Amino acid sequence: MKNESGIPDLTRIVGRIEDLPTLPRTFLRITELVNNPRSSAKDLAKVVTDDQVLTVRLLRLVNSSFYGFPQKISTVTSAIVLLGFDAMRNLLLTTSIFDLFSNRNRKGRLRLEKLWDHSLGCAVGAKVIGNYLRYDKIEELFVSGLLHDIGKIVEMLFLPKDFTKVTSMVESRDILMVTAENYILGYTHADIGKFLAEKWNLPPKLESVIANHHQPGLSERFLQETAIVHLADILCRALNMGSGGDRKIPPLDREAWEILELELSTIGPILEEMESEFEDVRQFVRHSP
Amino acid sequence: MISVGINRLKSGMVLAKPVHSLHGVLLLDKGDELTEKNIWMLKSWGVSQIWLEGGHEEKKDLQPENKIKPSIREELREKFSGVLEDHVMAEIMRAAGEQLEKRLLKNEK
Ligand SMILES: [Fe+2]
Ligand SMILES: [Fe+2]
Repeated sequence: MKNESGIPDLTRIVGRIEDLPTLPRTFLRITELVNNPRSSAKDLAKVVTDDQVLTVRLLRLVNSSFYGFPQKISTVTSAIVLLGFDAMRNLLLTTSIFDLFSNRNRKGRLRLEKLWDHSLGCAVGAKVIGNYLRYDKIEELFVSGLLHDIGKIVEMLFLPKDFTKVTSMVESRDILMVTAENYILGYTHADIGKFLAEKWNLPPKLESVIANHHQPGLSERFLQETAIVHLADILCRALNMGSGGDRKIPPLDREAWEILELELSTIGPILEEMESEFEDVRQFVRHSP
Repeated sequence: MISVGINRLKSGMVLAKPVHSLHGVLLLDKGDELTEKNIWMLKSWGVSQIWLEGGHEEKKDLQPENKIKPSIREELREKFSGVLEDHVMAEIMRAAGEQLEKRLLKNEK
């Protein structure tokens, strides 16, 4: 239920999802290093190379078509220098979260995979839109897209009864999941995602995008980033990339569209670019060790 | 017709579609003009997004998909039903149709 200020009473939810996973130690150590202006690529490399899986992932990522660096990069230090600290942290965040939420229960595996594909489609969309707008932190947009529906994943894995009620209403009435959540639970996956982002101390920008991607007009800060993910969510659904758990397309928020200042004629090329990048990125994420 | 978030509503705006509560109660009808009072009422009912008149409706080449496979066209129509009055959404549907058609041809090869 919502209280007077319209903010859902999350304490009830919190009680039930207290056993939510925590982020791995390495992530916390790397966040510390990234936030410390005095740390060097060498310091960071030391933490990364302590973790074999992470080392392999990092090198695969910098050598993938996602970055398209011309020459082969073979050391962790040069990878970090090329990617930058923030990108490094984002990579780690992404892979940690995939690990935490992957394949926990067999029954829902297909649904979970479709949801990740939806998230990946949205991430690719946010990246492509960001390129069009010459946004300078494409990395952040990618992660925002990837995590925008993290609340749905939490709902599915940690609130399975609620999730079942919601999905059966989505199916019987052919409505958006966010509408059914509001109706049945009084809060949405965006609220759950916001809670999780707080609990994990994710960057404020990321938290804001997760919290407001269905109503970008509500964001007080980071309106542009939220608008980008809002549009990317619509575009990846239009292209049938994965499934957000429902079959309808959400309406485009007027304010979000206006703030982006995109020409109507860019929609076609943006979709084309998304289509050509999606499979590549998907292969990379899927086959990460 | 455009979709607008509740916080940006101002009195004098005109509704392009009826507004229902989550429980299906009709709150305001198509053509109704917003007042401070009924904006407040919409908020208290938890309405978050509504359709307003406006947004230049460019009807030109928004009926695109004649060359597109009927199965793709049908699926798109269904998915986009209810949001197509916004010309941006219509363009998204048109352009997505093109991509989906290309994907299909590619996979057939
Ligand atoms: Fe969502
Ligand atoms: Fe989504």
